[in-house]
Amino acid sequence: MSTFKAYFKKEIIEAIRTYRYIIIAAVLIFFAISDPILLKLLPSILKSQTQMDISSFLVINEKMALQNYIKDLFQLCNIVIVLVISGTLGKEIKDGKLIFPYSKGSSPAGIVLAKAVHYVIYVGIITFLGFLINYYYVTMLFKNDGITIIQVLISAASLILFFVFNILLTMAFSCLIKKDIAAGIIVLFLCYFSITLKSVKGIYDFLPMKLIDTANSFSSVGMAKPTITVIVACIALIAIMIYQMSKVEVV
Amino acid sequence: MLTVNNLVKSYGKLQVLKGISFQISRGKIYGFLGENGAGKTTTMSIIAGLINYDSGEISFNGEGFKKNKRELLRKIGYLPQTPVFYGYLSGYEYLDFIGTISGMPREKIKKRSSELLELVGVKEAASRKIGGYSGGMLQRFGLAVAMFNSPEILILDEPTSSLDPQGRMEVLELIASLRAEGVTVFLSTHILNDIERVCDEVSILHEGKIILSQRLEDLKKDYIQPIYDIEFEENLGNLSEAFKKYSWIEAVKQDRNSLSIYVKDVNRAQQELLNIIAAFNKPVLSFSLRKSNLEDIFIRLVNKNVNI
Repeated sequence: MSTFKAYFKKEIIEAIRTYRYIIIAAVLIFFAISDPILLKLLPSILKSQTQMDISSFLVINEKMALQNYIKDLFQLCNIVIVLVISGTLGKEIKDGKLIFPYSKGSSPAGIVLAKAVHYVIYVGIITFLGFLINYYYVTMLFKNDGITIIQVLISAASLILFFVFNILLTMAFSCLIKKDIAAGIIVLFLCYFSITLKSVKGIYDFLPMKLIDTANSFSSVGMAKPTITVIVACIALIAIMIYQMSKVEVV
Repeated sequence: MLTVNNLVKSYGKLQVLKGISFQISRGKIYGFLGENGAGKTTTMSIIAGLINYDSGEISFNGEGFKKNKRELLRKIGYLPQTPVFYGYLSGYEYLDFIGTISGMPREKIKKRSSELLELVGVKEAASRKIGGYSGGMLQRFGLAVAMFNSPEILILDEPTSSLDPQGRMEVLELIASLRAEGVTVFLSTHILNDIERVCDEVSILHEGKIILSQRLEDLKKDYIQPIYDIEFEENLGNLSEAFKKYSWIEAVKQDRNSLSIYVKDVNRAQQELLNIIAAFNKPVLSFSLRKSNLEDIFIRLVNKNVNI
């Protein structure tokens, strides 16, 4: 517990001073605000470019605007989150920063859990906040489709589960291969490659990628299977990291 | 206090430690000497719990290291050769981090931080981020971190290597003062003078084996050997050969115009050496008696040439 406490506090200070909080928050909040505004302005922008009024063809409603934010979260924000977190364990091992903590008897489980819990909580809070901000602007700028705030929060929960899986997968690769950027690239490759499995119905339904579909549907239908996968995978990834951190030679 | 028995460590096919054994008694300062790559840092890293070992036994106050590793590490302090910290933390924040890991209460952390930062001379910089510290400050701050949990044994891997002469002297004085407090120190260094100044016992590690382990005083008694250094005005040619017929002379090293004569019998040397030199009829610039120091002993032992 003492290791968890020390590392949790250290992670907060680190994320503030190395601007990790700002980077993640800036990207998620930026798209939450800019997406609905740009979508609203899109017909006018296109009209000024093409001299044609296409507003009758380009009807954007509340649902489409919210889905646009989910698309940006998946395509862009996910990359930022993975790359920001990719050095969290590997770089510390490689740079010898664990020498003093290990020589004081710190627990590998405490280190892994503190780092994982810290980023899961932060990304979770910012994602919820991003959805709420986005919902506020969308409902203000677009015609109401009847999507309730509860549905948006369910959608946010799907995205958060997807991010949680990616955070832990990134940390695990970072711990195993001890190369931060390489770990991030591997995770992003696996993540975007899994879209190609969409046609394999039986498998795809259990993949974390399925959570993006459930987020887009604003309902919890189909969320159970990938949620089970994510929970089991996260437990396994944490166990792998703790094992690896107990075996690693930190000099 | 600390007993290491038949410790073996390999990296792939390379066996770095080939079954080393030694004992460190409570309150002693134990010097660890060896060339680069001899296995000093590996040994220290194993005892500090940073790397695993293949076989052998380590016990601390009679308790086995493998079974009670985490508990025993709380009684050990370790300063690596190049200490690395989280550069974005201040000195106080880092010590708070270490204190929390060690399970110390907040008040004790504050008190201990203040004491140690004062002791190692980094108190004025302790509110600044560690990333801005100089090499010497990092080494001193590392010493404070190593000592933070009031360890029973302090493992110091080349603690003075990046310090200026003044800083070196202060750290050595600090190490010597720890003896009075009953702290055991396990010290490795390349600076043999440091070992001579503070250590009670010394081990010499060579190619993964301990080739000598002795009290420093006994070591000097056993290996000390008087050497006569004679400097001549002109080139000596093959003069060294002429000394080999004397049984009381162990070895002769010849430079261009100087000789170092290692003698077995000082009394005979005092009586006969000047006469022998005078017989060569070569002008002498200087004649002095040198007593071999730890550096000579170290070089002789690791070169497997105890005669020179």
